[in-house]
Amino acid sequence: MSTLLHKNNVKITGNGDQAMIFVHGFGCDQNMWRFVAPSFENDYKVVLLDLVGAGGSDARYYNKQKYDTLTGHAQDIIDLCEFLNLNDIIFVGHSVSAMIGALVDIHQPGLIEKLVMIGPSPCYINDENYHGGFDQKDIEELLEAMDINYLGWSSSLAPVIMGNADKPELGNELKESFCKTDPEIAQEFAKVTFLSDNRADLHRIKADCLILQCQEDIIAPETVGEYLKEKIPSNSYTVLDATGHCPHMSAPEETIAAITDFLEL
Amino acid sequence: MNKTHIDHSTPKTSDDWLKLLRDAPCGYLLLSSRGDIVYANDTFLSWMQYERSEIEDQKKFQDFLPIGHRLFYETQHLMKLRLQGEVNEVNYSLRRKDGGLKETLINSKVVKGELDKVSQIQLIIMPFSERITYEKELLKAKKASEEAAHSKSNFLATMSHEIRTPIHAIINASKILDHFEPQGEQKELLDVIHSAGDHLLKLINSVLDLSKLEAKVMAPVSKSFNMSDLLEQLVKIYRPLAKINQVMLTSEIDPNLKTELVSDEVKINQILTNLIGNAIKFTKNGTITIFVKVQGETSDQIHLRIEIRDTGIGMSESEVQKVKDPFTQANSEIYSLYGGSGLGLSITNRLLEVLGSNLQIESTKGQGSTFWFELSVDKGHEITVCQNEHSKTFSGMDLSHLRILNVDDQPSNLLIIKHFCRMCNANFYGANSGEEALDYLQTEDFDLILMDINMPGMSGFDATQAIRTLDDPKKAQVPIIGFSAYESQDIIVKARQVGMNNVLSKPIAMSKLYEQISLLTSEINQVVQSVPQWTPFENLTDVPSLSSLKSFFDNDKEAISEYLTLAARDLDDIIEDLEEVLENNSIEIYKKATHKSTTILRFLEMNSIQSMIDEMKDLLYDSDDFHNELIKLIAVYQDTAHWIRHQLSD
Repeated sequence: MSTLLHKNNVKITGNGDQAMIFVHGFGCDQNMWRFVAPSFENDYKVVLLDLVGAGGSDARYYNKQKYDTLTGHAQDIIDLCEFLNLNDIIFVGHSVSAMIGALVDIHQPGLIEKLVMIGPSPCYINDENYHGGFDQKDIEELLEAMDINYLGWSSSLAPVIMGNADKPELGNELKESFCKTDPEIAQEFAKVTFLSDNRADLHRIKADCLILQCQEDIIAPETVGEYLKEKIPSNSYTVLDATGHCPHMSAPEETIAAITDFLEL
Repeated sequence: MNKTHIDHSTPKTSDDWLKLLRDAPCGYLLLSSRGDIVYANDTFLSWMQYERSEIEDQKKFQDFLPIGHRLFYETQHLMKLRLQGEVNEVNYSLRRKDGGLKETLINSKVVKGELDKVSQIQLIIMPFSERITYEKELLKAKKASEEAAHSKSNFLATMSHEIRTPIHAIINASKILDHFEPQGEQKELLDVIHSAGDHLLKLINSVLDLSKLEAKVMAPVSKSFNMSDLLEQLVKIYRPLAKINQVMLTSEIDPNLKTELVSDEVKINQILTNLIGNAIKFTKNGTITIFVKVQGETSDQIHLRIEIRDTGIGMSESEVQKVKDPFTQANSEIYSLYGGSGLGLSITNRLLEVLGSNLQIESTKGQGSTFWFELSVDKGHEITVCQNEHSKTFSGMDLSHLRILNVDDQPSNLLIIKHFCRMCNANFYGANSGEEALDYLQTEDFDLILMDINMPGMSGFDATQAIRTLDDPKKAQVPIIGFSAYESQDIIVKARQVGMNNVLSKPIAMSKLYEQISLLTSEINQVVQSVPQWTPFENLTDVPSLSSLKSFFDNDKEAISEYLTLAARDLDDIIEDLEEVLENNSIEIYKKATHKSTTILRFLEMNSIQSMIDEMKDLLYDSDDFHNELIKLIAVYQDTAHWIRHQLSD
């Protein structure tokens, strides 16, 4: 298998010519798309991937310097599209990956035809004129919770660090373990995600965007959605009935419908 | 007397069950699929100090979480719960009505409804206040010990470098004194200094290797080599030592091994050295045999099993387990009987890990041990004739025609070179800094400069660069050998780039230095022209050709040389960019830089280089492989630029 496909644990399905790339956010991996992605397989070439450090990606490629900003991940996706010879793609990004999509568009204008942003936020930290929802100390509290839950007592969240390629007998037991992450990488990704600030990049987005805003989403509150609506040059803004931060998991039908409407525009 | 009544009955009605649930010794919550609390038991209500009406259909579970924990719940917990169906033993602090926090441990499980969809979520909440304190302490201790281990490795690496330099001075000084024909006791004492110094150096090198391996900074460096030459050399070196223990040391190589191997010769040598040294240490009156067996082969790879079998003291099963750990020997008597640091095998094993293998041990106490490993390596050229190299010994050399300038900030190092020069009648000049060397060059001409790389102020690299740009061509082209305490590919690349002819690593092996001097002096005799001779184009697998260029420009010499001048300049820029990529792994710069060379490579008909660049795209971000390939590519560009300039000068 090509190094690049292996690196990001790329899975390609679907029948269409146009590629639809789904990119997961912080805390999970490509499994999060299982309720949504299959609906697009009839019309699109569906590309699923794990960001380096998450899920089934090859953590040996993790390089702190490179992934110290979201651009490192954006670059991976640009490389992947070049490798697979994909053009005019539809990019579906959840949470922080909505911003990774924006960076892909800025660095390689024209690659993305349509950008679907689910629960996006350009900046999570509050400042004088902006309400992102969090203060620095909240992020520290999150890191502490990750520390205690990944490394401490709890076992069910503990990631499967050990590779099981050489132990096929473990395969079945591990099958149901989703969203594994190396704890150190998860902590780094948490910092990169929640301390990122891409507000100044928004006006440079060229692709047509769909902003999917949920109700009662503490991570990307409606004030943030409205901020994006105002700053992104070409966008459709849809507020879903779904609550929380993961409508594609808690309300997949509504999410599929909103994306389909946008793509048919 | 009344018998104690034992109640064996189970609750009869759902009310009975509900009553038990209400007062259960744990909190219980039932959530709707949107997260609203549908039911909370009394235990939970009393812990949280809320009335039922304030919670049911009013609050979500996450409303009790401080914001950081809420982030954790939304990003880490909920997603997994939806995918896995249950997530257990997660620690949360819950905010009580009075503002205080209650530490809890929570199990969660989804209740599936129609079409297998999540209809509700159940939570069990257990108090966790006491234990969390311990756990946090444990976690702190764990982190502290990991950090300490990391700083230990760093410290060892730094100190080892610092210690190597003075040891190098001691060893070389003792070697020099040997040439003054010391008498009786003087000779014995010198031998003591020499062997103790050597021993110390080996020890320091082991520590350095281990810390490098722990820090995972050691990558394999592959090149072609002849396994049977390597074995012959090792047996030759170790036979005298084995003889002292009345041990017969032999090697047997599979006759089916007919090609050279492409692998990391230095590491394989180090692995075998460690294993042979170990076997000799623990064998008296017996045999040690090194076997190299071909296990299988494909068109481009060969699979080897390499064994070192001894008839020594052997080990029990539990001792075999222990010996691979660093700083551990099989048992505590080993040190008192045999000495050693306990690092040898653990280094060997890590070196093997770098090569994608690992060390296996079979041993029987009292009967001997077999240490073996398997290696899959690429095949090199077929072995044709075995050639014996006769290395020159310096005693026969007369360098009286040479003027040698040694640049080093350390007087002890200058002294060593001074004595060597005296022994071979070369004319010695010493400079304490790069600046001083340049001053010297104002008035003097030299045939050779030996340049320490790491000097305060102007480094050896800076000084070399300055010398290469001097106006007087004779001075600018003087051969320069760099001395470095660090061995790394980066240094070699950098040295080539600033114009050093070669680099020797400290401690300077005098035979190597003589070899280099003799090589360069024979070149000096040949060099009459002003073309820099230190570029053998050894990295060019494609021989560049001018024919495409000639036909494109209709043999217009002026146009061709103008194009070549610009191309060489472009290549300089590309090299500079790629060196930046070595530092920052920037894929964008890599692509832009290599793209710039496309036309040049096409004109010069260097197609295999273009395919190398294309293949490297597949290695992007594989830091080790990519890095190694990139170093090779830079060397190719450097040689191409030199080749072009060579053509221009003709």
